[in-house]
Amino acid sequence: SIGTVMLRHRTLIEVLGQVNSAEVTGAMLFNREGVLLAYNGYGEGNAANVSAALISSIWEAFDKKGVAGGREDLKEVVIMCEDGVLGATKVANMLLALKATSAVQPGILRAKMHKLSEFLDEPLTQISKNI
Amino acid sequence: MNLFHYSFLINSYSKMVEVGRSLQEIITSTPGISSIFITDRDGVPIASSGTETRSRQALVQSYQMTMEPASKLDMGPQKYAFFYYDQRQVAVITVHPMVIFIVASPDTNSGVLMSMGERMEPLLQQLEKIIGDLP
Repeated sequence: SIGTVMLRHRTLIEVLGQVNSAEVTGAMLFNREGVLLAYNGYGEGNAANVSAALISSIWEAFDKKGVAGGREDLKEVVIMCEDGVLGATKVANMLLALKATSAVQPGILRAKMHKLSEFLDEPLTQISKNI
Repeated sequence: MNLFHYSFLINSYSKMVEVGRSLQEIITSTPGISSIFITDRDGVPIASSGTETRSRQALVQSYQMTMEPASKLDMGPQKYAFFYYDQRQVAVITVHPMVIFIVASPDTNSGVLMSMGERMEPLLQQLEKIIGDLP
C-alpha cells in the first residue's frame, strides 16, 4: 500500500547536499524520462529541470551500447568540459547526477557518486517497489 | 585520373597504413585498450585499429546524438567523455576537428586514457595533413 513507504523529500534533499563541496556543486535525482525527483545545489529556476532532461537523453543514447555483444547496460557516465564536469549513475530505477567545477579530480567525483548511490539504493528500491 | 593522381593516392594510402600501424603500437603498449578509432566531427570514420566490434558504428551514432544535448549543459566545449559498462569502458576524446574513441577494459585507469589525447597529437596532425591533401 502507498502508506507503508513514504519518501521524505526534505531528507532526500539534505542527503543529496552532503556531496557538495568547493568542487562538487550540485546533485540531483531524476527518472529515466528526465523528470526530477529532488535536487540540491542547482540554484533557483529551471537549470536542474533542463539538466535532468539533457542527461537522461544522453543516457538513453548510450544505454545498451556496450561493446561486448552490444547489449550491455550502461553503468556510469562522466563528461568533462572546459568549464565543468558531470557524472551520472544508476540508483534503483532512477538516475543520479553530480556536477562539479573543472577543478575537481574525476576520481573524487566518481567516488562521491558511488557512495551516494550506495546510500540511496536500498530506500529508493523500496519506494519504487511500492509505487 | 592521370599518373599524378595515381601516385598521389598510393602515397596517401601508404601514409594511412603508417597511421594504422602507429595506432596498433599504442594499443599493444597500453594494457587494457582493445580498440581505437578516429572519426571527423560528423562521425565519418577516418582511421581505426584493434578489435573490430559490431557496435563501433552504434557508438559513433550515439555520440553524434549526444553532441547537441551536451552542448546545452552550460559547461563549455566538451573535452572528454567516459561511458562505463560491465565489460568495457569507452572514452571519447574531442581534439578538434577530430574525435577519438578508445575502447578499454573497465578497470583501465581513465586518467591514462585521458592522456591518450596528448599522446596521439602528432598522429592527428599527420592525419589532418593527409586528409587536407586529398584531391
